[in-house]
This record gives sequence, C-alpha cells and structure tokens, in this order.
Amino acid sequence: MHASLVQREEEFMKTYHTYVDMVYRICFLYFKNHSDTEDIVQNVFLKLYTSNPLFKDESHKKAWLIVTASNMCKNGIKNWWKQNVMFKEFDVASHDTKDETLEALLNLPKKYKTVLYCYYYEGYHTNEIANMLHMNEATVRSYLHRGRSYLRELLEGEKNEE
Amino acid sequence: MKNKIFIQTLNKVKPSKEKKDKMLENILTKKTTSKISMNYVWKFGMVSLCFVCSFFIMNGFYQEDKSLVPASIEPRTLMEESNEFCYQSICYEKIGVLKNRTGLQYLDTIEDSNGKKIIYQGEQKDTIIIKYENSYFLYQKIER
Repeated sequence: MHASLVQREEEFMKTYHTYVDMVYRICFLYFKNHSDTEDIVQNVFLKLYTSNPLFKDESHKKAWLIVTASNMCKNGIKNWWKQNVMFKEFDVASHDTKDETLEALLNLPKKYKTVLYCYYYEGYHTNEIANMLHMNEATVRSYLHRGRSYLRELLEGEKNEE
Repeated sequence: MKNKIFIQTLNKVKPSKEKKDKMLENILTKKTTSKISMNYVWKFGMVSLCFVCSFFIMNGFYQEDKSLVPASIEPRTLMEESNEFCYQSICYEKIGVLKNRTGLQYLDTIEDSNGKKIIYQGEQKDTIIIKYENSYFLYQKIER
C-alpha cells in the first residue's frame, strides 16, 4: 500500500513537471494575470491528484488536462471582476517591449481560445479537438476561422494606431 | 497545424521554477490558496459582522424604548411590613387612623393578596392616606 502511494506520487510529479507549462498557458489565456492563473493551475492538478482518473495513454492524459483546465477557467472567469480585469500584469520575461501578439491572443473572446491553442500550439487536428471538447467538427472549423479573423483585426488595428 | 508565431508568443508564458515548486508543494499538502475561496471567507465574515451589528442596533433601540416608558406605569413596588408601607420607592410609617376623610385627593389603587388598597394624598406632602378594609390610615414618610 505504501509502495503504491509512493509510486502514485512519483507518477503525479512526473505528470506535473511535464504538463505544468501547458496548463499554465491555457489558464493564462483566460485569466490574463499570474496570481489567478496559479490558483487555477493548482486546482487542476489537485483535481488530478485527488480524483486519480484512469488514462488509456499519454495523449488521453494530456487531453484530460486541457479540457479540465479549460472548464475550470470558464467556471472561474464567471466572476464579474475577473471578466472585467484588464491586461495589466503581464510582463514578458527578458522582453522590455509590450508583446502585441500575446495581447491580441489574450483579448480574444474566450470561446475561441482553447480551440486556437489546441490547433496552433499543440498541433491537434480539427476532428481531435472536436472529440476532446465534445463539439461538432464544423463548429471547431468555424471557431478557428472567426478566431483568426479576430486576431487579424486586433493586430491590424494596433498597427494602424501606430 | 502548428503556427510558429503562436508558439513563439505563448512560449514566453510560463511559470518560474520557484513558482512551479511552490505550486507543487501546495498541491501535495492540499493547501490551495484560492482567491475564490478567499472571496467566500470575506463574504462569510461580512455577513457575520452584519448580524452582530444588527443585534447591537436592535438591542439599543429596545433599551431606548424601555427608557421612554413613563414612570407612572412602571411596576409598582409594594412592600408592607407591620406598620411600614412602601409606595413608588418611598417608605411610609403608619402614624394613626384618620377620622376626617372628606376632600381626599386620589393617587392610586393597589390590589395585592391582602385585598384592595386605595391611596390618597395626605394634607402634608410627606403623608399619604390608605383606605384599607373600610378604614383610613394615615402614613408619614420615613426619614432615613
């Protein structure tokens, strides 16, 4: 029993170190500040630790973490203050200048964020995203298209302002 | 389809090693410092404070109401021991039986286990007359 507990903890720590950056990125896209992001990241891994779900393989585990993080963020962001919080806190490490692309990503409507992240960062196909997020594949493609349009508008708007 | 700009941008977003270690420690000790739960703590505290404040305010009003009650309807204290009689915090001593009982100024009526007593004002300020069992008794204030 003790050995299994130690094994479970070791496995959890391995999972944590592998996926903490990924979960952090997803949560940061929603919350736009580090303190709230840290809270939600902890809650996501705490859920993994306490519920100890059975995974078929590593990709299943990764998908579970993406979906759980996304859902927890959506629930957490329902708070009025968090919905209205402005992009202030973020400071890009080793970059003194403001990152326009990141700012545009953070200002995207929240329903497009996970889809865009999974497609462009993690490299999932639309059918995989549709299965993971329990959505229609056409909806995923539509979200991608609209998300891209939003990003283009946001980035072109900033360039025109300059 | 991975996007290079997307990856480069998001690669900048990552927690420091210290933060990672601290978060892991919190998870393993199951002590998450959630701001959402802190909100509930604040809300609970504020509601408790409101309850306490309302209790004190209501208590204050109640006391104020009590102070507004006129003295005349305060519970009367009646203490009679042998020839002594106390009425409205003043004690009187029986000094005799009254013969002339016309033109008495009525003060109060007290009914106790011994029967009905009608109190009248005496001729002097420090005297009272009590009608008890069809007899009138003169009482004088006791100077203590």
